[in-house]
Amino acid sequence: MAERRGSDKVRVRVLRQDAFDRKDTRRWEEFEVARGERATVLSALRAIQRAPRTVDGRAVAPVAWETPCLEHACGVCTMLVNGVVGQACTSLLDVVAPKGRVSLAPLGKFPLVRDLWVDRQRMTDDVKRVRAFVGYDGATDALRESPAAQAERLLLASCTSCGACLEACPQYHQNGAYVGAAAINQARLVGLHEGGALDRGARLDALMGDGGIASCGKAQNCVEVCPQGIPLTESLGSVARDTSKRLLFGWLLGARR
Amino acid sequence: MARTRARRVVVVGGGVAGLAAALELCRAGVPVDVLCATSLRRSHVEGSPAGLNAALGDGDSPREHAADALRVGQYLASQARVLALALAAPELVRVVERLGVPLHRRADGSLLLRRLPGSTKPRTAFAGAATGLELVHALDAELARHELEPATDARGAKLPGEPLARRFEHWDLCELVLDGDGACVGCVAQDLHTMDVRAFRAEAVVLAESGPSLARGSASGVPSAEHALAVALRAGAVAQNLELQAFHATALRGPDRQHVLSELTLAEGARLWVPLDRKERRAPEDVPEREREHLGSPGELGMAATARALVRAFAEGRGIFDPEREVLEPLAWLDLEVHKRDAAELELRLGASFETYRALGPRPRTRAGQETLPYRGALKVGVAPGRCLGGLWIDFATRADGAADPASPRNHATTLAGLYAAGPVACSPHGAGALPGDELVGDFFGGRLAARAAAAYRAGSTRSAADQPSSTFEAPESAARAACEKLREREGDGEGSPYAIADELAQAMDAGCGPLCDDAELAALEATLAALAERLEATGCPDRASRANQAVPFMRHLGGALDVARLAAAGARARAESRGVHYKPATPTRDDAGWLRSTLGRLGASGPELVRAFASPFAERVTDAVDTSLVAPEPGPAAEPAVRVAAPDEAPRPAKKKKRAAKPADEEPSDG
Ligand code: SF4
Repeated sequence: MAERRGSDKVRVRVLRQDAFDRKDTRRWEEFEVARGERATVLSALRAIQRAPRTVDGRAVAPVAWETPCLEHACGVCTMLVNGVVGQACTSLLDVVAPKGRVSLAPLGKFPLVRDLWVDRQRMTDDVKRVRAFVGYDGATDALRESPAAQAERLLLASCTSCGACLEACPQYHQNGAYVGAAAINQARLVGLHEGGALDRGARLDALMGDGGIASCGKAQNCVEVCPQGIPLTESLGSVARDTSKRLLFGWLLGARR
Repeated sequence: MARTRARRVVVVGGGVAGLAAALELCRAGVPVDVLCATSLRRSHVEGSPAGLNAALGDGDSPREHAADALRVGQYLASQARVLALALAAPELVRVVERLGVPLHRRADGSLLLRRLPGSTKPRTAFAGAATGLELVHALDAELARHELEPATDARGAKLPGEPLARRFEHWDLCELVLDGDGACVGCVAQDLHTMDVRAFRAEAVVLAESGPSLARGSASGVPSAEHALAVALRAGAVAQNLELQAFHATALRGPDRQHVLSELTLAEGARLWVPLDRKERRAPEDVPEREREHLGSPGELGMAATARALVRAFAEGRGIFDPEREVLEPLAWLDLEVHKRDAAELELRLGASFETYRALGPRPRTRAGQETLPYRGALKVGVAPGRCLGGLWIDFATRADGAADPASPRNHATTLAGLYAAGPVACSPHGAGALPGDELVGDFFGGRLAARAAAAYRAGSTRSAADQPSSTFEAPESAARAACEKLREREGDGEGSPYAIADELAQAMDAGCGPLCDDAELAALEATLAALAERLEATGCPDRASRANQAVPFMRHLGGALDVARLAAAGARARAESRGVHYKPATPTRDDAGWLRSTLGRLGASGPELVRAFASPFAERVTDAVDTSLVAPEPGPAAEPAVRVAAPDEAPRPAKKKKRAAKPADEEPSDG
């Protein structure tokens, strides 16, 4: 039984660094944890937190990572599992470490906080840049919407800002201008809402600016990695069409706005 | 100290209540700082799957909504708050809709309302199975908009470089700052990235953090947990009804936590049962109907009674037998056999509930061993703590005619002047049980009301935090900084880590303060909790890092959680009756003569203590009396059956031919 499952122990290699400006402390450390029933990468990290000792017997600081929800709702435990974007809370050890080994590293496209913990602040900044908000005006009268339109928005709204799409995107860089698929999807979502449709012009202008939709290289990696199954390429395409229309006819609309 | 020239209000917590408060302040032109121990989009403990209740349906009315809520709360509610919520809810749902939350629709484009257990009418609007999460996302984006607007001073002049809203993500509350008269004029918080400790000047502070969670082991990953509650208690605030703890009966055991499927599955027609045979080895679908004990539907009293039925069944020797380990587990089968319903429709309504489960759970299998969609098999579920109905005592203003007065600075005021509370950190309006779907709309309402009250307090106050000498802030700031450093450098005697203490805390609460409580067990629990608190004091910090040190806030929160747990246990022991979520087999019925009142607790000089009355900024004497002036209490439910402990080898009782215990499918979709 134990043999068929590989081993009941798993070796977890973690790429660590003490702080964003301490590149000199970058190192791999290896830990051993029990492979519990349906244990995940998150279970492994929690076990390490409780007894932070490397395989060569050194007592070390607990590994830092961000983990508010533990249940696949918040997206912050997204990291590189064996070099691939994944979420710690849903990566089963039986799947990611069938041979008893797994490596964990922080996402590379966000500023590092410590160990596996990264700072996603920029995702909020980019939402502001493309003005992906409704601009609620205090109205309280009822809206009408077809069930199909609602279902479409519900899917687009399920983004957790995990950053996987940005990590996988060849055009997105930590210090680059491109805002990436998540912010553009958010902008499309807002545009589909009656309230958000009001601010459409300003939003499209922002999306046409530096780091906007034109930076998308159509690699389509984003849609492959999105854990929420959001049709990101559709969102990118839809925003691209809207911005080109505005480019062509914008001066007409501009006269009215 | 955080610099500002604007007279700001500080909101602590970025969930629905906190963001609602922040936006309401922005709309009123009051500059706001939002502090949150996580990033804002992550501040939600659960996704609030039920939705938002509002009397929007044909033939429904806010009065009926309030009547349902009062019944489910078993008349321990604040009737004024419940009525105000029911009256405000329809408009609040319109606001939610306008904010862009994709609420489900009927074919004609109007809102689709569903009927949840305890409600007499369909009145819950919802967005998938995570309405709360959707609302947090929408509110967060709106806050981002206000971060681009400038703040103005008292004369309306723009303050260059000072945005109307500022967000401080990954900032953890350490202390409240009180002036010489005991009024709250700010707070001290720690940046969890750099570990800097800073004071924030505030005209008022609105606490909008979570309620007891670390103390209940329900979400031990949440970094902030019930910390704001503990900080307020330490500053002298009073807590109310902390013993009133809801439990879910439909928690899937995940590897790292329990995943609550919520009452939705039951509302959609699922049934909960245990095999009568304590060594049942057959697959659930092979156990015939007459060899099952149905644990009933959530019924009138919500999930609490169902959770108790499960606990009772296990105490009587029924559960799910694990043939591999040869043990009986305190679990039941949740049967999702709902073939008659449209699978795609169910996926829409329940899909998000099952997401984690799909990623992690053992798939239910058909007899042929094929995996099925969760809607067709049976799932193993157990009991897990839900939300605490108690929290910080808050004031509420009513006008002479009994209606709420939304402009009053009294609303949501705590026992400390200038300190407001909303959301799970505050005592809920609902009493001893809440309608599913009332919590979320209640948090939204409470956040807005607390913000208006804080703005009124700010406008009416003759002094301003800006006039306070900087020493008012410097002293607590350096004290908090020293405390953080001391914690970080603390050497332990090697006996256990704070994480082990947290696990023990959760286990102790589970064993001593669960859905059925007993005085002797509660007394033992109180002793255990006191011992854990002592042990924590002697525990060393497992991490010495001077930046991004997660052990320091964890230990700080754990200390607070122990205080909260001790008050909850004391309250549970005091309440010698059964009411709503609170149940004691020794006193199995409601006792209106003795206990139609709240428990009030605070941290005294010698530890947690219960009181019968106290003074607040707006009233000299507040007592534990409960207002029943709007709706007179109806009689409570009959005592539930006592635990009947079976001899270990007793043969299974043959089931009497039962009426189907649960008929939620019939109750439900008047919405279709
Ligand atoms: S779009 Fe998908 S991959 Fe990108 S941040 Fe959102 S959830 Fe993550």
